[in-house]
Amino acid sequence: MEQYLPTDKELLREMRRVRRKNKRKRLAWGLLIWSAIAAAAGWFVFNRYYTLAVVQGPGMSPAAESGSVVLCRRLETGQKPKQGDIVLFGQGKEWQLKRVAAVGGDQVALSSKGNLWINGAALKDYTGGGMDADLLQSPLTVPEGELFVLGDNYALSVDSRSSAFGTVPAEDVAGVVRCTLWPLYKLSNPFR
Amino acid sequence: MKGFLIRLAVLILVLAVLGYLLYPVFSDQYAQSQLIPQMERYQAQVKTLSAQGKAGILAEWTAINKKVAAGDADAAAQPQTVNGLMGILEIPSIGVRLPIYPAGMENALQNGVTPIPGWALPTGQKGVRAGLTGANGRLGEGELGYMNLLAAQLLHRLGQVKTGDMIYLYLPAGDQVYQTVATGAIGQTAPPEGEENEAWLTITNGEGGNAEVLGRLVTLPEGKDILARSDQPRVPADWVNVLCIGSPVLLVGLILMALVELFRRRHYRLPADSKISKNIEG
Repeated sequence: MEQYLPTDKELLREMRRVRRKNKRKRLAWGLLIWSAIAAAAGWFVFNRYYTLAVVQGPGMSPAAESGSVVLCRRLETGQKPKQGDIVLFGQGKEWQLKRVAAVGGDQVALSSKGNLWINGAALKDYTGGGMDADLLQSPLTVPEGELFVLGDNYALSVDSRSSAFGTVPAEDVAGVVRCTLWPLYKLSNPFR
Repeated sequence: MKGFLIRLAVLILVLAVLGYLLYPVFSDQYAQSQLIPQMERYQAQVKTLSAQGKAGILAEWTAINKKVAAGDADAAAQPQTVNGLMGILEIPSIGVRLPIYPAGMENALQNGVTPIPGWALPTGQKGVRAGLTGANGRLGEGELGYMNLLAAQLLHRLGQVKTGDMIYLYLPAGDQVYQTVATGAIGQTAPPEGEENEAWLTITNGEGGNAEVLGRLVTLPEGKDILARSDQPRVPADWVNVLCIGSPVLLVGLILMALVELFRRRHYRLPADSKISKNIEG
């Protein structure tokens, strides 16, 4: 029986066909595997380390403007937020984003001149705002395990100065803001 | 060769479409980033203003409003500013954060908004109906302009503001919050009838836009429920978080795959004496 010998062109065509087929197979598997790795990594990091939040409203302006997407670091067990941290916490069914002004044991008072005093020291840059009236009536000592939080925009923030809002249990804190991811121009601007 | 040309054409087409779609977004981001230093300087300067300084600005703007009400439309052309700015306008629902320049400033509408000539300045006092206006977007230069691509959105999306949306003004004399109560054709300089004991703000997007928004001043502590509702961050659903956090890993994986493909050794070879071997090697 005579053996069939393919021509160079036929060999070339076949070679390309096999190469394309293998390439497609490799790409499909690669995409599948990397998607699985990405999903697993995303799930792991989300559950243990970071969560995203979209800022809404003027309360934290200009540090976190409305519409910004911020990355929040979850707290380790036993870790507590420090004074100056911007924290994401749940209050009822709603989320809040405020800066920690005082922690458990600290004394907070508002002077008649409109200065906010924390442990006897006036809060720098405090300009006062619409919620001061509540606090003026009742200077307070922050209970242990709780946080006294303020929005950076004192005039437009509803926060711990309001008796209805009150102090926030530290255990309700879901994370501490680490950086802004969006808008892009904030990426190069260190979070304040 | 034919296949290569087709793929190249498809690639160019996809890139062109992507560029057309994404240009306004990134260009607007760029335009806003150019305004940031100016707005940050303004905010830093406002923080250092004394109570008397703020009261002085408010008094001057109030006096201007009286002149405007008496028919002197030019009185508001050059009010007192801080670092050249009268303030900052923010409408979160449409992603607007723009500087407010005096109406008399040259090219003010290229980058921000200005008071409407003949209208009151936003002092937040009862019975005042202030007006601000901005451009309906700024076209890109040259070919981009012919293609109707916007280099900066400015107040292009003002028509998308809905009743209940919040409007924020960061002014030297104190920040103000307005809640949208009406949209559409509402042009008049006086407060709505029977509502003279409130403060109002009208915003328009001028030429070609014709969108108008009317907001009512919200004050604390009376309006704390409205403010509290508008000041709550949103935490995306778990799967969105996972997708956003995992996507950089996927991107790295795709780049690695592309590099592996690029430097992969060819395993299929024709016999060495083949006439076309050299072409294939190439």
